Amino acid sequence: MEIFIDIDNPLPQFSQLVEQIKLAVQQKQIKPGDPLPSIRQLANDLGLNNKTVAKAYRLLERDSVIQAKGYRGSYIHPDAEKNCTVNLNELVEEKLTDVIGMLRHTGATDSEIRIAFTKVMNSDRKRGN
Amino acid sequence: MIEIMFYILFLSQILLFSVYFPNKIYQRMRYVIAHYPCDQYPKLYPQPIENYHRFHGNYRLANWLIAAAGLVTLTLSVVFNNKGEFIEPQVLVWLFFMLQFMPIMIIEISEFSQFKMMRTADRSSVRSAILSPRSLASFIAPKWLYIAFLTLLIAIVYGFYLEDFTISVEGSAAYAAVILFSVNAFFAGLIYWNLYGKKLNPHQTEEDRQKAIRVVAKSLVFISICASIFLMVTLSIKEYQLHSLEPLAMTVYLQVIALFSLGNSIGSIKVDELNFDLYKKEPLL
Repeated sequence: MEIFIDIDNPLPQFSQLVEQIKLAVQQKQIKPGDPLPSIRQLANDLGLNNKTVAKAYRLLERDSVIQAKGYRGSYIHPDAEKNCTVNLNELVEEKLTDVIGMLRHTGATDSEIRIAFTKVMNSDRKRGN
Repeated sequence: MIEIMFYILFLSQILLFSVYFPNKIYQRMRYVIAHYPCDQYPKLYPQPIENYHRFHGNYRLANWLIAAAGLVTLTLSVVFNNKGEFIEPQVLVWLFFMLQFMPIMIIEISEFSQFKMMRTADRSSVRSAILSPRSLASFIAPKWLYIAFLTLLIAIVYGFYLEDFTISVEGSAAYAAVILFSVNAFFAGLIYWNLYGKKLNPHQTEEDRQKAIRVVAKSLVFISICASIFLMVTLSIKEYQLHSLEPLAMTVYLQVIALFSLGNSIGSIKVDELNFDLYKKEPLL
């Protein structure tokens, strides 16, 4: 099966990769246990940076859509089909929309929200999360 | 008798490398231009079409000149009965092979620049890739890899056996082992680059790419086997003082590897079976 990346698409290239691999799993074009190409092979075929493909693979691994098996490479996760339906990006956007809406309602300006958001993110990162 | 055999084999080398294969390659290039013209397949021709006509003509002329030079050399060798007074026959074979190899090298180099121009001219923002790993085992049966590895080992052990397993830097066996290892490492690198390296031709389909990889992998593995066998033959010739056979072995070896590389490439990849639709003009929106 083939995947396509549009370099002019405003969606980041790693996101396009993640979406297409998830779609391929959902449409049963690739099945659990199927091997995936190595990061180098996919990056060279698509003319992308290795880091872009590695980032896409990391996100897919985080979502349990693929699993890395050391030197043997990456494979489609046994529960990939089920895990593909969970869209973390959508969930994050939904939750943030709710919070921002609530904050605006209380009278906070966008600038105050941005500053507070950055502050919370930074302090959270410092704590090691 | 050996001299006559050498002359016949040298003539065969001249005809094979400078007439037969160049003629096949020339016909192939002309076939592509005739059947896939630049007005319908513009992506195939990033340069003005005259450049291709000129290149094809020069390629043919160069090969004819090399063949003529070979025939003159052969005639002089027969007339003056060259037994190494002017030049060692095996050196002559090797030097002439290098000369014969030059047009093929020029084709390879021009192919790289052709692909580079294609990539520069390619305005498509969409790139594609297959979602399955490429592995060497899908392009060549593993038994051939084992055979190549075994012949390499046997050749090296045989070399040291002839020198009573005395490892000396000045000995032929150590020298031959280093050359064989280097050649095989180079071949392995080439195969790896073909399998996982960047796609040179931006329009090539995965199917066509796999055909090309198959040809390269098979050719290089068979050449590796031939190189190991040739090394054993050369070491035996030295050991048993059969120096008169050296030029014969050399020209036979060169012709065999030509058959495995060029012959395999021309025979396996049929122009009609390649997908040329990708080079067509993009429809106007």
